[in-house]
Amino acid sequence: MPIHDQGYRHWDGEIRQHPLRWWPIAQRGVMAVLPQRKVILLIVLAWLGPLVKGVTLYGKLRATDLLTQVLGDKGAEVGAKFFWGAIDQQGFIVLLFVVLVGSNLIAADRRFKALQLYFSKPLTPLDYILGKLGIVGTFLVLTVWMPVMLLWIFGLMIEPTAEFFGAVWFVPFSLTLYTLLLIAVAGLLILALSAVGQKGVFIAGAWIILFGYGPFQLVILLLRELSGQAFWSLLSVERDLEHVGAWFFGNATDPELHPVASLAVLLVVVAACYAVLRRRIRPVEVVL
Amino acid sequence: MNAPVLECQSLTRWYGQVIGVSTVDCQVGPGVTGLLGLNGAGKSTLFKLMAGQLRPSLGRVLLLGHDLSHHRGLFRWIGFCPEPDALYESMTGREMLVYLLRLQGFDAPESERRAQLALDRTHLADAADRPVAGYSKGMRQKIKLAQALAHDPKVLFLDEPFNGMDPVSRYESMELIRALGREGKTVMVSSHILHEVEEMTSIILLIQNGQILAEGNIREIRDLVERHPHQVRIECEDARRLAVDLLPMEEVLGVKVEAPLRLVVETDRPRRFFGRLPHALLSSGVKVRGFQTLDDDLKSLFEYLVEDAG
Amino acid sequence: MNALRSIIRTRGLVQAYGPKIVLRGIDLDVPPGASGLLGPNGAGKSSFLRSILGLVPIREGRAEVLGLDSQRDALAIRRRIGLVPESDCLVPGMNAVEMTAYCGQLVGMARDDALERAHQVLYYVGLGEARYRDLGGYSQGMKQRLKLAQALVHDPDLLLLDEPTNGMDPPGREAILELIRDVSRNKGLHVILSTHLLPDVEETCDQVIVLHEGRVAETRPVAKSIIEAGRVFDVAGRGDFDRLRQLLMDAGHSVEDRDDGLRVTLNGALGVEPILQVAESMGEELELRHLVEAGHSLQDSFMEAVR
Repeated sequence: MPIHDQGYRHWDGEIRQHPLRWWPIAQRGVMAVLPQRKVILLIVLAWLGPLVKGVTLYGKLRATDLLTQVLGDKGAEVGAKFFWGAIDQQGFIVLLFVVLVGSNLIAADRRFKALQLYFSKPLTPLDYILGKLGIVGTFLVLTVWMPVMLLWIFGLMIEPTAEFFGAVWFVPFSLTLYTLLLIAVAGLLILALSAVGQKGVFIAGAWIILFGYGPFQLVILLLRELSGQAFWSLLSVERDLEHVGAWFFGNATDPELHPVASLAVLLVVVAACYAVLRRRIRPVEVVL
Repeated sequence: MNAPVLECQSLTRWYGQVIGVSTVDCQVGPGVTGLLGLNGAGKSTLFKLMAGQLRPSLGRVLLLGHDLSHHRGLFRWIGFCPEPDALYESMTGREMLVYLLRLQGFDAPESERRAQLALDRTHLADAADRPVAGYSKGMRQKIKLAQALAHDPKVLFLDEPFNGMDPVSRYESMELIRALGREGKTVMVSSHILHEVEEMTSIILLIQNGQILAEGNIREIRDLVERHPHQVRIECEDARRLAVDLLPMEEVLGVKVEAPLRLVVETDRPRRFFGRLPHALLSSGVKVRGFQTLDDDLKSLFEYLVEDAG
Repeated sequence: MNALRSIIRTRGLVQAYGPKIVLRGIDLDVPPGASGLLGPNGAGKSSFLRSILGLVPIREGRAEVLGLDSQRDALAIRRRIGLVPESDCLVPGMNAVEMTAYCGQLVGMARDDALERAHQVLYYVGLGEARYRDLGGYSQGMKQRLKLAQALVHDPDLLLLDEPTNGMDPPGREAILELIRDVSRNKGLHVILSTHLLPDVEETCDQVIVLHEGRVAETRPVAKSIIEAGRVFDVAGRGDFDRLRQLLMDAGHSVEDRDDGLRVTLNGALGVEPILQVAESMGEELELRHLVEAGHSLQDSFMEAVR
């Protein structure tokens, strides 16, 4: 009948060594953000658009001419383009979500010097970045990939014809490819800003400017119009994403620019953001 | 002691409903006095009141016999090294000292001279012409110390001056504070490192919950703590035999053999016991290697006082 | 746990940031147990810790921690160590259980294991009651305890602590030091304590390493080294020490004033008897409270090593 030691006890459980070391960071980050009321609200809002699209889809595939008339776009056939439209209309929500979730992710760790804690664990800077990217990515999957995917399934359920399938079979692939590109570009961009900036306002402002919304977008448009040179549009990350996305879905929107040029710009942005992150997240600063 | 340099009379300070310091009566004379207490006990509030940075809610502070809140001129004699770390980041150490000395009313050459003196005394001369923003934590503490003593005040209040200093800087700064005490200045210094307080002074002021818990000489205070018997550890060649010889002493409460060569004697009448111990050891005939009182230091005293006060 | 001769072993370790050399060839064998790492600012303590954690590439030489190479097996090393950093490093918005379990997961513990361990170690460090409160409202002392808990959650073999008692009041410091002593002496964890506070090292460690200007300036046991057994003594107490000094000098011994008493170097026979006899002759006017063999204190040897 021993008396057990209530003090420090050794633990002989297993410490796992898997390559997904970043997973707990992403998991923890999502769980910290998800219960917030504004986040839930935004997720609900994000699903409203696709819901309307669903009704439209039903109307186009099944309902009477009257309904089609009300909804406009009469006689337009439902194809991959329709699903791209569903993605495209999520643009604003994506912008909000990425700022809301992403802007503080690294800034807070830097402010409270929490990087020390991460790098005293068996983590590399890449693990850390992937983990944080995973948080942003989860919400992009929730608001872009999932609703559009459901929309596609819904479409096949109400129109299970070979003809319809033949027109949209590649949507899941295009959708996944685009979502990954979106996560890489938008996610790394906000993380890089979060690693550079201190204040939320600064990060949000810089994000809007760099991502190519608002006045900046107008300036780019103006430059393009005045100079007659299409390449000015390449400067807008948002335009590039849209351009490449539409291309994935089989219809380039800008006849004057090749989508590969836009894709190249995006890859440069990704590389630049990653370089910034690696510079700002250095284990050297851990023990001070 | 002649008239105290500093005297607090029923000093009280509230922050709204929160009490910071409560009816503190004390006198502080020349030399170094250690101000001790737990975090939140009111040390920093007391410092600010004594240095005239805060107005008392009740009571008053007398400096050199005059009420501090009515005689602004007294500030000339006060040097204050506050705990928070707020400095003029873009100035060099020297510029900052000169600037503060000019504010005290010294002319330019005199300010330069005194700044140099303060830099030398705090071992900061090498870093004097670099911007404060690039200083290490220890150097920042030193420049705060330098500004407190640059205008040659009679009274210095130093709130946790060693925090963040490396051992060399601590040693040098402790030497400096002892020297200031020897020069006849009244220095009050707070530190959580009781060893260091002990090395600078034997006079302490201990506050707890905003009130004075004990003041005076560490050893005299220790003898007043009757609830905790003094413990003496003796190293000798045969602990059991020596225990038998010591037990009959009437001052001895108990003897514990810790190891074959080591025993601990407890006594509640330390004065008589220590007076008679040499005789007792010599007449026992057991060869002794040495002995020491275990709880005669500031650490034990602090523990006993603060624990008993709850 | 296999018996290691040294928990950290470095040979010719050189560390540099660009042209600035911070470690100038360190050869060190840190024995098992608790070691204090001391050094003035800029001595290279932080750089040393960084290189043994494999956080920065080593310029020359090699370093092994728990038998693992710090460059090749950095992640494996960090699975087996726990670091208590100096700065706050706690992001508000979590409670202590979440924080500690999260750190366990980051090391590679399964979620359930990490949660269970988190509760255990939080009780151990004395945060049992406060463990569900947001850590944004923690006091300095509670933060230090939490930082210790997150370092212990995966039961590391080696605990690295950087100024763990910073800003704490005496009882708080004592509590942290007691925890460090306990894991090191009773539970077999190796400890490296990097600090500016010599008393902290004296109270917890078995040996000290003093770094100075990127080199090892000294390694020694913490226990004071006796100057000369039976010949040199420190005496302290109350009463008429001036008279004691005079009588000892009259008896032919040499006496030197110390901060809190006298240092006596005996002339002739060894042992305490000559001093006791003088004290006895003074009767009860002298209270001799300390009579110990004099040694070089940690402070003495530290100051000697870095000057």
